[in-house]
Amino acid sequence: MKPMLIRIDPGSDRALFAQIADSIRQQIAEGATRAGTRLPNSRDLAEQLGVNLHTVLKAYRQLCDEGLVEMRRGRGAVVTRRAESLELLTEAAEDLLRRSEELGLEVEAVVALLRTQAGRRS
Amino acid sequence: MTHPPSSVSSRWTLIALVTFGIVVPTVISVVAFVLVQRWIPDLPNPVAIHWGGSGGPNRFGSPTTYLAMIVLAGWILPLVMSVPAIPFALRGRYSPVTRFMVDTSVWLSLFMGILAVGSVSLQRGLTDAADAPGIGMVLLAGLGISTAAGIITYVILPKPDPLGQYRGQPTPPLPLEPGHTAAWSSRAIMTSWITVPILVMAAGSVVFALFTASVDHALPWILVGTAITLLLLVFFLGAFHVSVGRQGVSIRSYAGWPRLRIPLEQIDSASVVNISPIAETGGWGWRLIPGRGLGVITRSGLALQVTRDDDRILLVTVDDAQTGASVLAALLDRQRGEQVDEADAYSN
Repeated sequence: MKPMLIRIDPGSDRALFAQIADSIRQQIAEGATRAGTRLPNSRDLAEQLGVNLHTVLKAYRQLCDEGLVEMRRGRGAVVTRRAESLELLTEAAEDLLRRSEELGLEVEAVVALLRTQAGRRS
Repeated sequence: MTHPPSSVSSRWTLIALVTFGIVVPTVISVVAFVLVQRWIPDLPNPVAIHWGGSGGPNRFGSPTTYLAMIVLAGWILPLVMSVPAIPFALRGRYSPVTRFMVDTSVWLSLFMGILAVGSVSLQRGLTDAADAPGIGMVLLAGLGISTAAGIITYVILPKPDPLGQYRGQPTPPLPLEPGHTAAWSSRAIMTSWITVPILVMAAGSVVFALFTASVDHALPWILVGTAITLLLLVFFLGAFHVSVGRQGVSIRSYAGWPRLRIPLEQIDSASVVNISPIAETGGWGWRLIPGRGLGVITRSGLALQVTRDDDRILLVTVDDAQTGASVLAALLDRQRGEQVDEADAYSN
């Protein structure tokens, strides 16, 4: 389990479980975590963040659904090989964000665009 | 980083450590070696090298066994314990553990020397080693003299500066917006330089147990017991989860125990220090640091240092200690801010 730093803002509108997932996703994208890396123990993380255990479990389940993490018996939540590949998209993401900034678009708009395009492709 | 002691006291510390850590064990071992070597012509061959419970010798071997014993257990092993203290003393660092290690080094070399010289002198002039008398008196004399020497050494060695030793760089807190919170998790895994040799020793003990099963009754069981103990050590102390957050600092062995938690309210500060296990904590594992606190030491290098309100410390050689310390510092600042607000609320 590599060192992992999770930050949340209980005052924000964004659901806590989503923020936790964001934090972990961010570290995966930064290449800070390799495939096979274990996520922090859910009960431990919940206590240290001061949130409900189910909030952490929900975040982990979300990451599972996204294919970034898988639950392994006896090891807990583990980062998948697919997640490692996320780092490969960093450059492409940089380009996309730069262009959207030039155009004066918010990140949320870009995310929505990505979702729409994904929906069209499937 | 550490508060350098005055140049006079550190010179004296260095001289004392070199004298008692290196010179004394070497002199003792040389004297023992020379005596045993000179007596070899007077000894039966094979010579008795082990005594059993009944008082008489039960194992025999070459007289050079005693020479090997003096060199390995009476010289090299004590030096392994005391030499690492020197580079640290050169940097102005000297801890109660260092003192203990040098002291043990003197004790060990003297005990081994007396044991070897005593066992051999009992057999001088004998034609059959089986006639050798019991070594009870040698053991008692050895223990008594070594312990006395150990006490004298302890008194002569300088007193370590109890507070100057562990003052890591105070870590700048992680920038944390009001209302936000953070948690950090990492691990402390025992270095392979320790676990691999231990596992090899455990396996070796089992192999030896199998080989000696037909020759001895007690030895195989002792060896199996040793193997089990070594495996348990690796199992319980081989790897730890470490986390920092609103619950303070939490350390938990992968095996579930031992575990430790220090709540934020009991913590004064967090910092990062560079640790040398042999010189500063007396080795690896779950260590008691006399007069200072506790260390969970799995390797040398950077460690998270947590200083409690009562000045006791906790050291953990955890990966990315820097981030852990900054998160802890931020949470402590936050807590202090809340306490100030509470106090204000009461006074207004």
